Amino acid sequence: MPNKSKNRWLDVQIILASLAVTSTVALWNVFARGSSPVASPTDAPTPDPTATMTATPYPTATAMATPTSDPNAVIQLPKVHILLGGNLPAPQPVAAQPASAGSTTNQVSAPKSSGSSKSAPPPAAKTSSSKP
Amino acid sequence: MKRIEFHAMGSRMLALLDSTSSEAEEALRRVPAWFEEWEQTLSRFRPGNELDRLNRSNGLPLAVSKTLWEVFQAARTAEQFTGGLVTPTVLDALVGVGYDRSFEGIPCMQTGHSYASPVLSDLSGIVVWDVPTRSLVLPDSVHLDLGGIAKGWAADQAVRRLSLYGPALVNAGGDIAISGSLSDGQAWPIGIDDPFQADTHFETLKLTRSGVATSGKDYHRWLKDGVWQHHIIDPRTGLPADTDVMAATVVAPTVMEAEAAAKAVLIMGSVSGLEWLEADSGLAGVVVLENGYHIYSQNMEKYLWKN
Repeated sequence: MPNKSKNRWLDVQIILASLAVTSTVALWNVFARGSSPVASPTDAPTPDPTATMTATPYPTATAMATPTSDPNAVIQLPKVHILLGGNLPAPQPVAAQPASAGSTTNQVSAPKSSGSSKSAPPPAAKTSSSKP
Repeated sequence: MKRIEFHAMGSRMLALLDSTSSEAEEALRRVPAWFEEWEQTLSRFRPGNELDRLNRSNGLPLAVSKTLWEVFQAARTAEQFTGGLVTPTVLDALVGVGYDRSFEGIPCMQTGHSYASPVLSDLSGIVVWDVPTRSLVLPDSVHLDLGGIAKGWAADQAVRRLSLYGPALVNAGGDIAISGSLSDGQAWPIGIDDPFQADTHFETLKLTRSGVATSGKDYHRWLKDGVWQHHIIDPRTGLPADTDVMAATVVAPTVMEAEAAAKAVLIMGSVSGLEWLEADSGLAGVVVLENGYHIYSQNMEKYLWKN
Protein backbone atom coordinates (compact mmCIF):
# COMPACT_ATOMS: atom_id res chain seq x y z
CA MET A 1 0.00 0.00 0.00
CA PRO A 2 2.68 2.52 0.92
CA ASN A 3 4.48 1.58 -2.28
CA LYS A 4 1.35 2.22 -4.36
CA SER A 5 0.85 5.75 -2.92
CA LYS A 6 4.53 6.44 -3.36
CA ASN A 7 4.27 5.47 -7.08
CA ARG A 8 1.25 7.73 -7.54
CA TRP A 9 3.15 10.64 -5.99
CA LEU A 10 6.00 9.95 -8.42
CA ASP A 11 3.51 10.02 -11.32
CA VAL A 12 2.17 13.36 -10.11
CA GLN A 13 5.70 14.74 -9.89
CA ILE A 14 6.44 13.62 -13.45
CA ILE A 15 3.23 15.18 -14.76
CA LEU A 16 3.95 18.45 -12.96
CA ALA A 17 7.48 18.54 -14.30
CA SER A 18 6.26 17.90 -17.83
CA LEU A 19 3.67 20.64 -17.54
CA ALA A 20 6.31 23.04 -16.23
CA VAL A 21 8.69 22.33 -19.09
CA THR A 22 5.92 22.56 -21.70
CA SER A 23 4.56 25.83 -20.35
CA THR A 24 8.05 27.30 -20.11
CA VAL A 25 8.75 26.51 -23.76
CA ALA A 26 5.32 27.77 -24.84
CA LEU A 27 5.67 31.07 -22.97
CA TRP A 28 9.22 31.51 -24.32
CA ASN A 29 7.94 31.19 -27.84
CA VAL A 30 5.00 33.50 -27.23
CA PHE A 31 7.23 36.29 -25.93
CA ALA A 32 9.89 35.69 -28.48
CA ARG A 33 7.43 35.97 -31.39
CA GLY A 34 5.82 39.02 -29.83
CA SER A 35 9.02 41.02 -30.16
CA SER A 36 10.34 39.49 -33.38
CA PRO A 37 11.28 42.03 -36.01
CA VAL A 38 8.85 42.90 -38.74
CA ALA A 39 10.44 43.41 -42.10
CA SER A 40 10.77 47.08 -42.69
CA PRO A 41 12.87 49.19 -44.96
CA THR A 42 14.99 50.35 -42.04
CA ASP A 43 15.88 46.81 -40.99
CA ALA A 44 16.96 45.65 -44.40
CA PRO A 45 20.68 46.15 -45.04
CA THR A 46 20.79 49.26 -47.11
CA PRO A 47 23.11 49.14 -50.06
CA ASP A 48 25.98 51.56 -49.85
CA PRO A 49 25.63 54.09 -52.64
CA THR A 50 29.40 53.91 -53.22
CA ALA A 51 29.01 50.24 -54.13
CA THR A 52 27.65 51.24 -57.50
CA MET A 53 30.37 50.64 -60.06
CA THR A 54 30.26 53.03 -62.92
CA ALA A 55 32.17 52.34 -66.05
CA THR A 56 34.05 55.59 -65.94
CA PRO A 57 36.92 55.62 -68.32
CA TYR A 58 39.13 57.19 -65.70
CA PRO A 59 40.33 55.16 -62.76
CA THR A 60 38.84 56.73 -59.67
CA ALA A 61 39.44 56.33 -56.01
CA THR A 62 35.79 55.35 -55.64
CA ALA A 63 36.31 52.22 -57.67
CA MET A 64 39.15 51.19 -55.39
CA ALA A 65 37.27 51.86 -52.19
CA THR A 66 34.00 50.14 -52.91
CA PRO A 67 32.85 47.77 -50.17
CA THR A 68 32.40 45.00 -52.74
CA SER A 69 36.05 45.11 -53.61
CA ASP A 70 37.25 44.84 -50.02
CA PRO A 71 37.90 41.24 -48.94
CA ASN A 72 37.46 42.31 -45.33
CA ALA A 73 34.05 43.84 -45.93
CA VAL A 74 31.50 42.72 -43.35
CA ILE A 75 27.92 41.92 -44.29
CA GLN A 76 25.45 42.82 -41.52
CA LEU A 77 23.12 39.92 -40.85
CA PRO A 78 19.41 40.69 -40.20
CA LYS A 79 18.44 40.77 -36.53
CA VAL A 80 16.96 37.45 -35.36
CA HIS A 81 16.07 35.91 -32.01
CA ILE A 82 17.47 32.60 -30.99
CA LEU A 83 14.60 30.52 -29.67
CA LEU A 84 16.32 27.79 -27.75
CA GLY A 85 19.76 28.96 -26.81
CA GLY A 86 23.01 29.22 -28.73
CA ASN A 87 25.07 32.20 -29.70
CA LEU A 88 24.28 34.80 -32.28
CA PRO A 89 26.38 33.96 -35.35
CA ALA A 90 29.18 36.38 -35.84
CA PRO A 91 29.18 38.46 -39.06
CA GLN A 92 31.24 36.71 -41.73
CA PRO A 93 33.65 38.55 -43.99
CA VAL A 94 32.83 38.04 -47.62
CA ALA A 95 34.51 39.04 -50.85
CA ALA A 96 32.32 39.79 -53.80
CA GLN A 97 33.28 38.37 -57.17
CA PRO A 98 33.46 40.61 -60.19
CA ALA A 99 30.80 40.19 -62.80
CA SER A 100 33.20 39.26 -65.52
CA ALA A 101 35.60 37.02 -63.74
CA GLY A 102 36.70 35.08 -66.78
CA SER A 103 37.25 31.38 -66.56
CA THR A 104 36.38 29.86 -63.25
CA THR A 105 39.81 28.27 -63.12
CA ASN A 106 41.57 31.62 -63.14
CA GLN A 107 42.68 33.10 -59.88
CA VAL A 108 40.75 36.26 -59.13
CA SER A 109 41.87 38.65 -56.48
CA ALA A 110 40.74 41.96 -55.15
CA PRO A 111 42.96 45.00 -55.60
CA LYS A 112 46.21 44.59 -53.73
CA SER A 113 48.42 47.16 -52.14
CA SER A 114 51.92 47.88 -53.29
CA GLY A 115 54.40 45.08 -52.82
CA SER A 116 51.85 42.43 -51.96
CA SER A 117 54.59 39.82 -51.87
CA LYS A 118 55.94 40.76 -48.48
CA SER A 119 59.24 38.94 -48.89
CA ALA A 120 59.86 40.07 -52.47
CA PRO A 121 62.87 42.32 -52.97
CA PRO A 122 62.45 45.76 -54.53
CA PRO A 123 61.89 45.28 -58.26
CA ALA A 124 64.83 45.88 -60.56
CA ALA A 125 62.39 47.23 -63.16
CA LYS A 126 58.66 47.70 -63.45
CA THR A 127 56.34 47.01 -66.35
CA SER A 128 53.46 49.33 -67.09
CA SER A 129 51.72 50.74 -70.10
CA SER A 130 54.06 53.24 -71.74
CA LYS A 131 54.61 56.24 -69.56
CA PRO A 132 55.18 59.42 -71.51
CA MET B 1 74.81 46.46 -61.03
CA LYS B 2 75.22 49.27 -63.56
CA ARG B 3 72.30 51.21 -64.97
CA ILE B 4 71.35 53.99 -67.35
CA GLU B 5 68.02 55.81 -67.65
CA PHE B 6 66.98 58.08 -70.47
CA HIS B 7 63.97 59.20 -72.51
CA ALA B 8 63.31 57.90 -76.01
CA MET B 9 60.40 56.88 -78.24
CA GLY B 10 58.08 58.97 -76.08
CA SER B 11 58.78 56.80 -73.04
CA ARG B 12 61.13 56.24 -70.12
CA MET B 13 63.93 53.81 -70.86
CA LEU B 14 66.10 51.80 -68.47
CA ALA B 15 69.02 49.49 -69.17
CA LEU B 16 70.69 47.35 -66.49
CA LEU B 17 73.84 45.27 -66.63
CA ASP B 18 74.76 42.92 -63.80
CA SER B 19 78.47 43.58 -64.09
CA THR B 20 81.08 45.81 -62.54
CA SER B 21 83.47 45.95 -65.50
CA SER B 22 84.37 49.19 -67.23
CA GLU B 23 83.41 47.62 -70.58
CA ALA B 24 79.88 47.13 -69.27
CA GLU B 25 79.71 50.76 -68.26
CA GLU B 26 80.93 51.80 -71.67
CA ALA B 27 78.32 49.58 -73.39
CA LEU B 28 75.54 51.10 -71.29
CA ARG B 29 76.59 54.59 -72.33
CA ARG B 30 75.99 53.64 -75.97
CA VAL B 31 72.37 52.54 -75.43
CA PRO B 32 70.70 55.99 -75.80
CA ALA B 33 72.42 56.43 -79.18
CA TRP B 34 71.08 53.07 -80.36
CA PHE B 35 67.55 54.12 -79.43
CA GLU B 36 67.94 57.50 -81.08
CA GLU B 37 69.01 55.80 -84.32
CA TRP B 38 66.07 53.38 -84.20
CA GLU B 39 63.61 56.14 -83.34
CA GLN B 40 64.85 58.23 -86.24
CA THR B 41 64.02 55.34 -88.58
CA LEU B 42 60.80 54.02 -87.01
CA SER B 43 58.94 56.96 -85.47
CA ARG B 44 55.88 58.32 -87.23
CA PHE B 45 56.52 61.67 -85.59
CA ARG B 46 59.77 62.38 -87.44
CA PRO B 47 58.81 63.97 -90.79
CA GLY B 48 61.01 62.86 -93.64
CA ASN B 49 62.36 59.77 -91.93
CA GLU B 50 62.32 56.33 -93.51
CA LEU B 51 58.89 55.29 -92.17
CA ASP B 52 57.46 58.62 -93.34
CA ARG B 53 58.90 58.00 -96.81
CA LEU B 54 57.35 54.52 -96.85
CA ASN B 55 53.97 55.91 -95.80
CA ARG B 56 54.17 58.43 -98.64
CA SER B 57 55.50 56.02 -101.27
CA ASN B 58 52.09 55.83 -103.04
CA GLY B 59 52.37 52.20 -104.02
CA LEU B 60 55.89 52.44 -105.38
CA PRO B 61 58.57 50.00 -104.23
CA LEU B 62 60.95 51.39 -101.63
CA ALA B 63 64.22 49.74 -100.60
CA VAL B 64 64.39 49.98 -96.81
CA SER B 65 67.07 49.72 -94.15
CA LYS B 66 67.75 46.54 -92.21
CA THR B 67 66.09 48.14 -89.14
CA LEU B 68 62.81 48.96 -90.89
CA TRP B 69 62.84 45.60 -92.65
CA GLU B 70 63.25 43.68 -89.39
CA VAL B 71 60.59 45.68 -87.58
CA PHE B 72 58.18 45.23 -90.50
CA GLN B 73 58.75 41.46 -90.37
CA ALA B 74 58.29 41.52 -86.58
CA ALA B 75 55.01 43.40 -87.07
CA ARG B 76 53.88 40.80 -89.60
CA THR B 77 54.69 38.01 -87.14
CA ALA B 78 52.80 39.83 -84.36
CA GLU B 79 49.78 40.25 -86.64
CA GLN B 80 49.68 36.54 -87.45
CA PHE B 81 50.29 35.61 -83.81
CA THR B 82 47.30 37.68 -82.63
CA GLY B 83 44.92 36.80 -85.44
CA GLY B 84 45.09 40.31 -86.88
CA LEU B 85 44.29 42.16 -83.64
CA VAL B 86 47.73 43.74 -83.41
CA THR B 87 48.63 45.32 -86.72
CA PRO B 88 50.63 48.39 -87.77
CA THR B 89 47.95 49.35 -90.31
CA VAL B 90 46.02 51.30 -87.66
CA LEU B 91 47.78 54.61 -88.31
CA ASP B 92 44.83 56.26 -90.07
CA ALA B 93 42.49 55.10 -87.30
CA LEU B 94 44.83 56.53 -84.63
CA VAL B 95 44.92 59.87 -86.43
CA GLY B 96 41.14 59.70 -86.80
CA VAL B 97 40.60 59.52 -83.04
CA GLY B 98 43.04 62.35 -82.37
CA TYR B 99 46.43 60.67 -81.85
CA ASP B 100 48.00 62.72 -84.61
CA ARG B 101 51.13 63.91 -82.83
CA SER B 102 53.53 62.77 -80.12
CA PHE B 103 51.45 62.08 -77.02
CA GLU B 104 52.91 64.97 -75.03
CA GLY B 105 51.52 67.32 -77.67
CA ILE B 106 47.94 66.04 -77.72
CA PRO B 107 45.51 68.49 -76.11
CA CYS B 108 43.47 66.86 -73.37
CA MET B 109 40.25 67.95 -75.03
CA GLN B 110 39.66 67.97 -78.77
CA THR B 111 36.82 68.67 -81.12
CA GLY B 112 36.33 67.56 -84.66
CA HIS B 113 34.81 64.78 -86.63
CA SER B 114 35.95 61.26 -85.77
CA TYR B 115 35.87 58.81 -88.62
CA ALA B 116 36.04 55.11 -88.08
CA SER B 117 36.02 52.07 -90.27
CA PRO B 118 37.44 48.59 -89.87
CA VAL B 119 41.17 48.46 -90.47
CA LEU B 120 42.71 46.14 -93.03
CA SER B 121 44.83 43.82 -90.94
CA ASP B 122 46.45 41.45 -93.38
CA LEU B 123 49.96 42.68 -93.99
CA SER B 124 50.80 39.61 -96.04
CA GLY B 125 47.92 40.40 -98.37
CA ILE B 126 48.29 44.16 -98.70
CA VAL B 127 52.04 44.76 -98.59
CA VAL B 128 54.34 43.32 -101.20
CA TRP B 129 57.94 42.73 -100.21
CA ASP B 130 60.99 41.50 -101.97
CA VAL B 131 63.66 39.78 -99.88
CA PRO B 132 66.70 40.08 -102.20
CA THR B 133 66.30 43.85 -102.62
CA ARG B 134 64.80 44.33 -99.14
CA SER B 135 62.06 46.51 -100.57
CA LEU B 136 58.43 47.08 -99.63
CA VAL B 137 55.42 48.14 -101.69
CA LEU B 138 52.75 49.80 -99.56
CA PRO B 139 49.39 50.67 -101.17
CA ASP B 140 48.63 54.39 -101.02
CA SER B 141 45.50 53.72 -98.93
CA VAL B 142 47.48 52.01 -96.15
CA HIS B 143 49.78 53.70 -93.64
CA LEU B 144 51.85 52.08 -90.92
CA ASP B 145 52.39 52.89 -87.25
CA LEU B 146 55.23 50.79 -85.84
CA GLY B 147 55.20 52.43 -82.42
CA GLY B 148 54.22 49.45 -80.28
CA ILE B 149 56.25 46.77 -81.96
CA ALA B 150 59.23 49.09 -82.36
CA LYS B 151 59.68 49.49 -78.62
CA GLY B 152 59.62 45.72 -78.08
CA TRP B 153 62.00 45.16 -80.97
CA ALA B 154 64.37 47.84 -79.67
CA ALA B 155 64.40 46.35 -76.17
CA ASP B 156 65.15 42.94 -77.67
CA GLN B 157 67.98 44.30 -79.82
CA ALA B 158 69.52 46.27 -76.98
CA VAL B 159 69.46 43.37 -74.53
CA ARG B 160 71.12 41.11 -77.11
CA ARG B 161 73.96 43.59 -77.52
CA LEU B 162 74.32 44.20 -73.77
CA SER B 163 74.28 40.50 -72.90
CA LEU B 164 77.81 40.25 -74.30
CA TYR B 165 78.95 42.06 -71.14
CA GLY B 166 76.80 40.25 -68.54
CA PRO B 167 73.22 39.55 -67.54
CA ALA B 168 71.16 42.39 -69.01
CA LEU B 169 67.70 43.91 -68.77
CA VAL B 170 66.22 46.61 -70.98
CA ASN B 171 62.93 48.30 -70.15
CA ALA B 172 61.54 50.26 -73.09
CA GLY B 173 58.55 52.07 -71.66
CA GLY B 174 57.23 48.97 -69.90
CA ASP B 175 58.31 46.42 -72.54
CA ILE B 176 61.05 44.49 -70.74
CA ALA B 177 63.60 42.15 -72.30
CA ILE B 178 65.76 39.98 -70.03
CA SER B 179 68.83 38.11 -71.28
CA GLY B 180 68.97 35.50 -68.51
CA SER B 181 69.49 34.98 -64.79
CA LEU B 182 71.49 37.39 -62.65
CA SER B 183 75.18 36.62 -62.08
CA ASP B 184 74.36 34.76 -58.85
CA GLY B 185 71.80 32.59 -60.66
CA GLN B 186 68.81 34.36 -59.16
CA ALA B 187 65.82 35.62 -61.15
CA TRP B 188 65.28 39.33 -61.76
CA PRO B 189 62.52 40.83 -59.58
CA ILE B 190 60.09 42.64 -61.88
CA GLY B 191 57.22 44.72 -60.55
CA ILE B 192 53.87 45.17 -62.26
CA ASP B 193 52.65 48.73 -61.86
CA ASP B 194 49.17 49.33 -60.51
CA PRO B 195 47.24 51.25 -63.19
CA PHE B 196 45.14 52.87 -60.47
CA GLN B 197 48.02 54.10 -58.29
CA ALA B 198 50.95 55.84 -59.87
CA ASP B 199 54.41 54.49 -59.07
CA THR B 200 53.21 51.56 -56.99
CA HIS B 201 53.33 47.92 -57.98
CA PHE B 202 50.82 45.28 -57.00
CA GLU B 203 52.82 42.19 -57.93
CA THR B 204 56.43 41.08 -58.17
CA LEU B 205 57.52 38.51 -60.74
CA LYS B 206 60.69 36.45 -60.85
CA LEU B 207 61.93 36.27 -64.41
CA THR B 208 64.97 34.90 -66.14
CA ARG B 209 65.39 34.73 -69.94
CA SER B 210 62.05 36.10 -71.15
CA GLY B 211 60.06 39.16 -72.07
CA VAL B 212 57.26 40.89 -70.21
CA ALA B 213 55.07 43.76 -71.35
CA THR B 214 52.01 45.67 -70.26
CA SER B 215 49.37 47.21 -72.44
CA GLY B 216 46.93 49.60 -70.84
CA LYS B 217 44.54 52.43 -71.41
CA ASP B 218 45.55 54.23 -68.24
CA TYR B 219 48.20 56.66 -69.52
CA HIS B 220 47.53 57.46 -73.16
CA ARG B 221 44.02 58.92 -73.08
CA TRP B 222 42.34 62.12 -74.09
CA LEU B 223 38.86 63.58 -74.60
CA LYS B 224 37.48 64.06 -78.09
CA ASP B 225 34.00 65.47 -78.51
CA GLY B 226 33.33 64.57 -74.88
CA VAL B 227 34.28 60.92 -75.35
CA TRP B 228 37.36 59.38 -73.77
CA GLN B 229 39.78 58.01 -76.34
CA HIS B 230 42.82 55.81 -75.87
CA HIS B 231 45.57 54.59 -78.16
CA ILE B 232 44.79 50.86 -78.42
CA ILE B 233 42.81 50.56 -81.64
CA ASP B 234 40.61 47.54 -82.29
CA PRO B 235 41.15 46.88 -86.03
CA ARG B 236 37.70 45.30 -86.27
CA THR B 237 36.04 48.67 -85.60
CA GLY B 238 38.77 51.20 -86.24
CA LEU B 239 38.05 52.71 -82.84
CA PRO B 240 39.73 52.55 -79.42
CA ALA B 241 39.07 49.07 -78.04
CA ASP B 242 35.87 48.79 -76.03
CA THR B 243 37.17 46.54 -73.26
CA ASP B 244 36.71 45.81 -69.55
CA VAL B 245 40.48 45.51 -69.13
CA MET B 246 42.35 48.53 -67.78
CA ALA B 247 45.77 46.91 -68.19
CA ALA B 248 47.08 43.52 -69.28
CA THR B 249 50.55 42.17 -68.48
CA VAL B 250 51.94 39.15 -70.32
CA VAL B 251 55.12 37.09 -69.85
CA ALA B 252 56.36 35.40 -73.03
CA PRO B 253 59.58 33.92 -74.41
CA THR B 254 60.38 37.23 -76.12
CA VAL B 255 59.43 40.81 -75.38
CA MET B 256 57.93 41.22 -78.86
CA GLU B 257 55.55 38.32 -78.24
CA ALA B 258 54.75 39.71 -74.79
CA GLU B 259 53.98 43.16 -76.21
CA ALA B 260 51.71 41.80 -78.95
CA ALA B 261 49.96 39.39 -76.59
CA ALA B 262 49.32 42.05 -73.94
CA LYS B 263 47.76 44.33 -76.53
CA ALA B 264 45.65 41.49 -77.96
CA VAL B 265 44.34 40.55 -74.51
CA LEU B 266 43.39 44.15 -73.81
CA ILE B 267 41.52 44.37 -77.12
CA MET B 268 39.74 41.03 -76.62
CA GLY B 269 38.58 41.82 -73.08
CA SER B 270 39.10 39.74 -69.95
CA VAL B 271 37.07 36.64 -70.81
CA SER B 272 38.23 36.02 -74.38
CA GLY B 273 41.68 37.37 -73.63
CA LEU B 274 42.34 34.95 -70.78
CA GLU B 275 40.98 32.04 -72.82
CA TRP B 276 43.39 32.98 -75.58
CA LEU B 277 46.29 33.20 -73.12
CA GLU B 278 45.47 29.81 -71.59
CA ALA B 279 45.50 28.20 -75.03
CA ASP B 280 49.22 28.99 -75.43
CA SER B 281 51.44 27.25 -72.89
CA GLY B 282 54.26 29.71 -73.60
CA LEU B 283 52.24 32.67 -72.33
CA ALA B 284 51.20 33.77 -68.86
CA GLY B 285 49.49 36.93 -67.76
CA VAL B 286 47.40 38.98 -65.42
CA VAL B 287 44.67 41.45 -66.31
CA VAL B 288 43.54 44.36 -64.17
CA LEU B 289 39.88 45.06 -64.75
CA GLU B 290 38.29 48.47 -64.77
CA ASN B 291 36.71 47.64 -61.39
CA GLY B 292 40.15 47.04 -59.89
CA TYR B 293 40.09 43.25 -59.77
CA HIS B 294 43.03 41.17 -60.95
CA ILE B 295 42.64 37.91 -62.87
CA TYR B 296 45.65 35.64 -63.32
CA SER B 297 46.17 33.01 -65.99
CA GLN B 298 47.07 29.61 -64.57
CA ASN B 299 50.63 29.74 -65.93
CA MET B 300 51.29 32.95 -64.03
CA GLU B 301 51.67 31.07 -60.76
CA LYS B 302 55.24 30.00 -61.54
CA TYR B 303 56.37 33.59 -62.06
CA LEU B 304 54.92 35.07 -58.85
CA TRP B 305 57.45 36.01 -56.21
CA LYS B 306 56.12 34.29 -53.11
CA ASN B 307 59.22 33.17 -51.22
